[in-house]
Amino acid sequence: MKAALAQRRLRLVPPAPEPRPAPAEARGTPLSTPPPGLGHEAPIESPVRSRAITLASLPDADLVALAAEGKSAAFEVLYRRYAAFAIHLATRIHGSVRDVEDIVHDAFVSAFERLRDLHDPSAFKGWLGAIVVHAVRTRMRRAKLMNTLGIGPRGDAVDVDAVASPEASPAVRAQVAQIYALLKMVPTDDRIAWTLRSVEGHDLETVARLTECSLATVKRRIVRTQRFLDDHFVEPHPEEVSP
Amino acid sequence: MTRRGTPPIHPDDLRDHAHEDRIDRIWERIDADIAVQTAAASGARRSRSALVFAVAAAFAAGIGLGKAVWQPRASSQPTTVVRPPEEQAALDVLAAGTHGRTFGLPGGARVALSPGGTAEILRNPDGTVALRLVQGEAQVDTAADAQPLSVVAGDALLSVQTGSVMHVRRGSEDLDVSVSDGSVQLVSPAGTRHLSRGERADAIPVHAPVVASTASSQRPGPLAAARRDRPSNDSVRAPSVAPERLGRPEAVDPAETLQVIRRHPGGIDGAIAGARSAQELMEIHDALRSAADLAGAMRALERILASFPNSEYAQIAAWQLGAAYQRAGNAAKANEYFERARSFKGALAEDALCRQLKSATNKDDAVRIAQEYLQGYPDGRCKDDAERVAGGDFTPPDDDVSADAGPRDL
Repeated sequence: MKAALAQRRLRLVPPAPEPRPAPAEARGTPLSTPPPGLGHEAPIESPVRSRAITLASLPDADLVALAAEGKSAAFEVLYRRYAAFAIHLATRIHGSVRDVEDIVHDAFVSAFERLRDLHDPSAFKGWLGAIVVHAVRTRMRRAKLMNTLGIGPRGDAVDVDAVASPEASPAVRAQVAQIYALLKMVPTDDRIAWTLRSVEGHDLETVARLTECSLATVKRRIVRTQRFLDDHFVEPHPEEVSP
Repeated sequence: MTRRGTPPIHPDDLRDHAHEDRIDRIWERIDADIAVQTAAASGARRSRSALVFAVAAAFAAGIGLGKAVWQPRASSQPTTVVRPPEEQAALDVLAAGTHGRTFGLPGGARVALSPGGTAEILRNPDGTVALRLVQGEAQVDTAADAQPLSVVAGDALLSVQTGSVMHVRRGSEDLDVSVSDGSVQLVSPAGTRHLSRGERADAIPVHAPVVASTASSQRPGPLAAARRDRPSNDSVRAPSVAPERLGRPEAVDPAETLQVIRRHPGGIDGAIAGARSAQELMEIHDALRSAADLAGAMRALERILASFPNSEYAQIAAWQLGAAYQRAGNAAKANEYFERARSFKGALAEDALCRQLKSATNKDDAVRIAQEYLQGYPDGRCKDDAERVAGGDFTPPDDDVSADAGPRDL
């Protein structure tokens, strides 16, 4: 995946008209301030030295600054840098791949609209994650409401293939399926906090930032969910595991 | 069933949905949207553009809201995307936890699972479904407008007619069935019975009896016994095809086997999960490998190790998994399975150790393996290599490991 992304990044910026090999130490020089008048079609020119620098080599803060000025190429680099992060986040919280493209699309469009509100541009990833989490939460709560009203999609079945790898053992897939089935029974916010901590592996501070609530609240939600899972998880018969 | 703490979910067991195609597809939509916004926000006609954008946004939001409210499923499906077969959910799992829960099934039937109950929905190629009761108790209600439903429990098959209500409890070895309305056809290793309203059957065995010490590895598949004994009653809907050939001891044609397992109600994964012997799984593996479905073939091998660790096929399964991971460049997993293959002390133990020697990336490990090899197999086929490495002449392998491929190597 990383190699593929790297390839895509390389073709984001067309080659300069007269390519000149730059010294290795200068190629990745980050720009502290974005150069004025940068277009999608041109490589970035350093104001100090006339060397081509690809957008892909820029840090998040510079890309955010460029994207906030309307440079869609910069925003595309940000997107490709964090698309996998957003897709995984949405899929594993939601437990389904059904809405993931809509969620990620909405989150990035929302991020683009609000780039100027981002006070610390270097914290783009965490800020984007919070938007994704909020988008997933909104959909989950809406689905719950519609189910309550009897107008939502029928059935509460777990889409095992959305979460578990096809290469995981049948026993593990059965465990994952049961955990996600049980997670459907806990409050949405508790489920999100537990998933971010126990499935995505984020530390508590990151979970608090992503869910935009206090550390104490996050801890409470995770402990509550873990206790519920521990109390209710039932080990299947050894010979009756699902794939 | 047993209770224990929740097992952790390992990151390697999670599916990666961030495919290049999906990333490109989402970007195309984002790019189109932000282009509209950028255009609307620039130029001397800023105010007019903003008005147009607001109208367009309101229109789009109206459409989006309408779709979300009236067509919640349609709104979530990309318009230009057809999900590839490997992304389609082959299996849905229903679990009740400690609270009883009721689920609606495709076809109109409803199943109420008692606390601790777990069931799987098996999808037939013709769009109908069957229910596989994994554990616990369930009440199945096929209302007057619902389709008949098949319920599988081990080797037993319950065909529930339209307009029936049935309660079934599944234990590890047997099941109890009671019919409170309608009728149910019960086919089990004990024979066939027809249950009508008010009738019940208790302690029905769910597994075919083991008749010999080696019979456990040759038991028929989950639906095979039911299929064999099923009466010719066309009005009773049953899972469309059973892997009846898979229980036979003689070799079968992989292409033919592949056709059979693809018609299994639960698809390939259902056939793997439902296989009742290591031999069945090895035949499934052979068929999948011949169809270049290596992931499926590896799942069949993993099931052999997980469910039939003492079978005659366990060592070759471990060896093949080691070889497959070695070819994929996953040295840690390859080493793990080669160790497993060696633990059986069979004919492949030497070969597994030889492969570990050739793929060792660390000199200390290589010397240790070489010494172990020379001690265990002083005249083995890798003797020369082992002596060379044990003497201190170690060269790390290339990234592209090209160890000798065995006759059944993935």
